[in-house]
Amino acid sequence: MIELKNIVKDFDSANSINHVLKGLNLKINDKDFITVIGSNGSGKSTLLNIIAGSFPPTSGQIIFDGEDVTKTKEHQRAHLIGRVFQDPNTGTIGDISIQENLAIALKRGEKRTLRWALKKEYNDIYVRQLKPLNLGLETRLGDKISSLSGGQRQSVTLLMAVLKKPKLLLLDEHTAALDPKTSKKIMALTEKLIEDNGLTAMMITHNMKDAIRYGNRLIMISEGRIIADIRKDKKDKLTIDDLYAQFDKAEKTED
Amino acid sequence: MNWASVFYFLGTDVPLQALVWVIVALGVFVAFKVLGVADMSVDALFPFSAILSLLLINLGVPSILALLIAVIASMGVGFINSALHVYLKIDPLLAGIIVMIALYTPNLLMAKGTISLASGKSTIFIGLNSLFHNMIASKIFLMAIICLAILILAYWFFGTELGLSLRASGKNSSMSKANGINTNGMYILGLVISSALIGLAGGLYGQLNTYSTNDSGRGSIVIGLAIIFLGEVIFGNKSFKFSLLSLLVASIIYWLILDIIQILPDFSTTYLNLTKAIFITLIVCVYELKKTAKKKLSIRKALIIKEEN
Amino acid sequence: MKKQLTIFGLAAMCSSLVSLSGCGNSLKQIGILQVITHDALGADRQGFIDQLEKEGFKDGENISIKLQIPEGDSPTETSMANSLALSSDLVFGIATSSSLALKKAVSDLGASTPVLYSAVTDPVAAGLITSSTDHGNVVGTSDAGPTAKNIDLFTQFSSIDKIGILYNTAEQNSIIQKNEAQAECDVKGITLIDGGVTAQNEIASSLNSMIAQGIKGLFIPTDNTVAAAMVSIKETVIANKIITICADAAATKNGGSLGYSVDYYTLGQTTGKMAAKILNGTDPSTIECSLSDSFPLELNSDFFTATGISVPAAIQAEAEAD
Repeated sequence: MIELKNIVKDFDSANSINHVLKGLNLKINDKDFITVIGSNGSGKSTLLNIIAGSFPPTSGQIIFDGEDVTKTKEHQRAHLIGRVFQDPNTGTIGDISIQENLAIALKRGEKRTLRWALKKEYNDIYVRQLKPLNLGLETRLGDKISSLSGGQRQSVTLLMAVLKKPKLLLLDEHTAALDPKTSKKIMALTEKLIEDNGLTAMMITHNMKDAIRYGNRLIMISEGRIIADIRKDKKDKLTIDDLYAQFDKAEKTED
Repeated sequence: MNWASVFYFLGTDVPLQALVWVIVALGVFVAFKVLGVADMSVDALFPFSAILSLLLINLGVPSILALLIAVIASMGVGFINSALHVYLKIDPLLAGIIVMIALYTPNLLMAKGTISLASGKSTIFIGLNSLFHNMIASKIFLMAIICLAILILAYWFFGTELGLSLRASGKNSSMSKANGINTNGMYILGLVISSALIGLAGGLYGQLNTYSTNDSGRGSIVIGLAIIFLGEVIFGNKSFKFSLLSLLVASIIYWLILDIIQILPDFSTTYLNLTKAIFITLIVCVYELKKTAKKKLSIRKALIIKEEN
Repeated sequence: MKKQLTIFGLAAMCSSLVSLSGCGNSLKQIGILQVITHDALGADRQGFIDQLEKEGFKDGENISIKLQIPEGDSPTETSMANSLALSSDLVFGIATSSSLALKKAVSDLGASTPVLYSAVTDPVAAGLITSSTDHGNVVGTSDAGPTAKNIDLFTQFSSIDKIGILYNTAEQNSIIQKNEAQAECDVKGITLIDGGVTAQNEIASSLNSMIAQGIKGLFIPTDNTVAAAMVSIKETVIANKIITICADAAATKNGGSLGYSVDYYTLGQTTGKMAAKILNGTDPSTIECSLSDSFPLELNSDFFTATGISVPAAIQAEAEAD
């Protein structure tokens, strides 16, 4: 179980302090697949970055299965987290091969030694993971990532994120930069990987439909606070209008 | 100058220069291409190691040990260079310049203008010569072995998990961190390795020439970069292993062309610098043109793939 | 396509080497390596060539002179030394690093080609020779300057108790002269302010800083970096009425006041005499390395006119005699 306790994040700017997260509390249960929606500037990405450790919260705690990781650096808690970024270029390295990218992900969280990185045995693992994608990538292990399309790159990034089972999969609008058709494919892949591996996941999305359709829990963030936390049964019955109504209600309460 | 002299000169000078400068090119490669850092300390680090190596020999240290100490000292300099950025948050370019300026004083104190191998002292090459009895052959032979060893070591290292994570760190630090790679640690390791290579080249250079001035490193970065770019222009960027090999070949071609220009009558005195500048500019221009062409090609490719999907 | 272009380029280069094979072999090949283009070094070279001609060795008739100038670039200097050593019957290095490069190149070949040097202040310290009589195939002339005479010149002008020295801290010759100057100043009770620089663009601020510290005189040793900047130094020293004594005649002419200089042309001639002897069959190891013994006094009257400082009569007379 992952717990976020009273997360506050302030950003200092030239003349003022921007209070992005205002004491956010969240308990993520094992196998939760949480979709996160919120308007721009509500703090969703900041929240994800704080969980991952890209920067520390101003105050508050992040606890993974009883272990307080708040003070650890991003690379020190990477063994717990798999991440897929919005930009397909951020999650992979274009200049090197698919095989090399996967090799980097394979050792996530482990000490990097002087053992050979591209061992033949690892290729079996890669092929097994790539085949179900039906993209033919398993025959192109030596090809550079830059020769892949955006959708293919995101698929690889997804695979890299789950190659070593993470305690939490973080997806930051990972289909936002893709066209609708590819987007659908990636979402289907996402759902499948989460189900097959029994993963706990948190997905930020701008797509209200996706937010309702996928996952077992929906969180709405507005102005640095969670204003709604809707579980499975209620979630399935939600409509997009319901969500808009929630947002309006929240805004009125703030004013 | 007759044909025999020409070929003998090219046959001996080119390998000697090429073998020293390929190590410099490798050091510059690790910093500039792998880490993505413009490390300006190279021009001062190179003579630092050359001078130190000779000074130690003059003080009675055996020549191999002198070389080793010079390399370790260079690694120390590399560590300081990287620490300036990692711990003091100084911009990498500035950090390199600071180190370059700082090295000036020790270089001066050690060399006092020019340092020469004291009489009776021996270098690793002189030592080997007692076997071969041909100084030039000894030098080329030993340099060739050292270079080969370094290139093989580099190829092996960058294929290990650690080496791969170093490369990843330089190309995409966000992704590296997300995969558990300590990018700060990798930065330090990378600069230390780069400095070790420059230090090795410098130490060898000092022992090859049996003398060194403060200034003998001036232009090292340019030569290193020219070799890297020439390698990429001629051989492309297919794989890492290939890049390493291309450095060696490019270094040989670079010195072959430079030496040929140099012995052309009347060229060397009047037009040498200009010709060198043009030559290097040409290399860089073709390199940039290739990059742009490649970019356009990959955009077209991506559009085609998108249409197919 | 690229590969073909590269080969084409190389082939074009090689074909122009054909002209090299036409060089005659009956001419004695003289290789000259001069570290950088510079008035003094050029004068040295000219003296060498002129002296050889005087003694019957004319370029193109019975000798062939090949000049290479690496302009301070170390790897180029190494390559040039190697190629000259290979193709010459006698080599001549002008300045310390070039001479060392030639010595090493010849030694690597296992040859005993005579290596002449000039414009090296302390050839023993530089590792060129063991002593002026023990030096094998390396022989030449040193340009150790008349530093003592020059410091003494300051005492000829009223109340100069503090002088500065401008020089490039990387030039070994300059460091040697600075140490000599320091010793002389200590003897004469003059304070010497060290204005060492590492590059030409530091000269102005170093000079201004020394002026602020109250120097009344300025000593400029034979230093390639400062010599190149004399024109910019000139205005400052005239404006501040600072007696500027240069050990290099060209520097005095370009912006100094006066000075005993090493006459590089004469130095070159002395070296040329040695070369002629060697070409005529003398063993270089029997020739004694020499110092310059001719120190003409150069006077820049423009300086004295502009500053209104009067020149002591004895000095005026000496300058006119030279």
